[in-house]
Amino acid sequence: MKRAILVTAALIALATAPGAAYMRFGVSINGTNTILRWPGAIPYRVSDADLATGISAADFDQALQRAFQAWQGVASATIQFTRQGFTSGRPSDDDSSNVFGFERRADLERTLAVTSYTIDVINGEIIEADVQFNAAQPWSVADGGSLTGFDLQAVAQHEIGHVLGLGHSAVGETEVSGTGRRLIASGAVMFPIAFPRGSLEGRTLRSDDIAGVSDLYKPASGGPRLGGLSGHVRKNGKGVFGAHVVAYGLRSGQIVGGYSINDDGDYVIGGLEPGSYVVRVEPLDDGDVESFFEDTRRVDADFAVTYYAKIAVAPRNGVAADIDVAVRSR
Amino acid sequence: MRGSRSRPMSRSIVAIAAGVMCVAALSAAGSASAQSRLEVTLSGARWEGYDLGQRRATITGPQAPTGTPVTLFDSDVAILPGPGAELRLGWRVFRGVYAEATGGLGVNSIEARIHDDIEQAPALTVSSTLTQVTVEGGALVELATLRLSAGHLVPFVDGGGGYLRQVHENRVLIETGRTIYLGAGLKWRSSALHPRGVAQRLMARGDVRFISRTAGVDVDDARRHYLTVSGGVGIRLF
Repeated sequence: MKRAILVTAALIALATAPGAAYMRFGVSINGTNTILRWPGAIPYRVSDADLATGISAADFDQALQRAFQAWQGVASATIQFTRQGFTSGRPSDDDSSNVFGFERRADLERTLAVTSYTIDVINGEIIEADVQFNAAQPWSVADGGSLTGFDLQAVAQHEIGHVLGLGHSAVGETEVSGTGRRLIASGAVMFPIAFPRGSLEGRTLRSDDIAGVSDLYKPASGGPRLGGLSGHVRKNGKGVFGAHVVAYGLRSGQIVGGYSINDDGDYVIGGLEPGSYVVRVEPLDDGDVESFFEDTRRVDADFAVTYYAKIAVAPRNGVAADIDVAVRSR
Repeated sequence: MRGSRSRPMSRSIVAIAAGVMCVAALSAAGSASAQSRLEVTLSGARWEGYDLGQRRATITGPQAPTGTPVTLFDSDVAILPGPGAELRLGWRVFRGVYAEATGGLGVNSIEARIHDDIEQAPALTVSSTLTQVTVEGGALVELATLRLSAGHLVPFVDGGGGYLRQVHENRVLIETGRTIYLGAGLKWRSSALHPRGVAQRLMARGDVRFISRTAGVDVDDARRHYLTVSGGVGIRLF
């Protein structure tokens, strides 16, 4: 019998979080970190149970199909979704099938949607991924958007990114507003704070999203020869955990982020078009660090924005090493 | 935006200059045939730099239905001047007309001045080395011969095009492009006719070339222009 663990990720309306980057989900299986990804086509069902006010099953289905198509359309990745029709089941059901549906969660007043995985802890395979849209929130499926509701397609695209194995990006900026945070700008569909009602911007995948999914689902052959950058973030000679590293392509215009993910300050940013990059390191200091890391105590946010001292160059089909950045306490 | 030039103008310049070259070559060719001659010149050079323009890292603001850009930081990008070396082989095909092959090696830098960071990080300049290799072919037309007591001074114009290879620092990435060039210069020959001995086969040469290139290291698809200035010594092999 397979044992399973549940992992969740939520898209938040006007709540928390800062920064810049894509992150891949991973689990530790017997001490070995395993990246979550699907080995082949991803089947899904659309729940027609307890839909949100004003959203028909057909509206929901079509918004989802457009959102799936956006990810499938990434030329530098091999992604295939298979629609298996409607179901009366709920996303919260433990049924070994991937279900997208609504659940009324008035208690989660700032949460638009949640993706949950059930993972085989023996081999790290994804058994099931479900997406719950909060029916207690106002939704819109209008082509041109509506100020009365959050764009369903845009939020679905974010959640589908989680289903694919992407974590939250920190490519964005927020500021404190009351008890929460106000979105100043976002540079990724996978940024954890949604665009406000009426905005259609969440329908457009950004370079950070595309780099992330291209890194996860590289075509077996014939794909573009993408590169990457890697190095360390250090402070006083010691590695920094949880620094946000952003690569900006001088030619491509790509803005792609990554994180230093261990106590040595190691980071890797993949899915980059070959060329010259400016590398900027910033702290995860203005929001819910738990949107990005489980162990928030390890995250060091006490340093100033720092740039890599040279122009970094991403090769074709490889990762440039030693793009090291030394930061200082503020 | 700095650094971009208009394509129609550059095409006009190239077309006019190519026309002048053809007229000059036909005129020289019509005057007389000549013995074959091979000239080899090695020059030190300065490869000028050029702007690549401003690049702005932006993300998207929360306005509905479409957001306005919010700047993370700005950068002004340029190729900086650097030293180079050029080897030229000139084969005389008619009197005053040479087919010429040039191999060039230049060491430049690509530089980005970063400023206006959204979190007020101090402005700074980052750079990396860029080694450039060119292999070009073209024609050189000698316009006149000024006889001096110490030899002959020969003004010339030349033009051609070729292949550009740009190697990033540590050979992490190689990018390629194409060049066309128009130039002018002076040759000094110890003796233009009937050379006797190695000393009288020696020559010196100065060049100024206007280079127009496409592809290679860049921030967009614009054609870029720059100058190279070189001077060196050579020898007539036969």
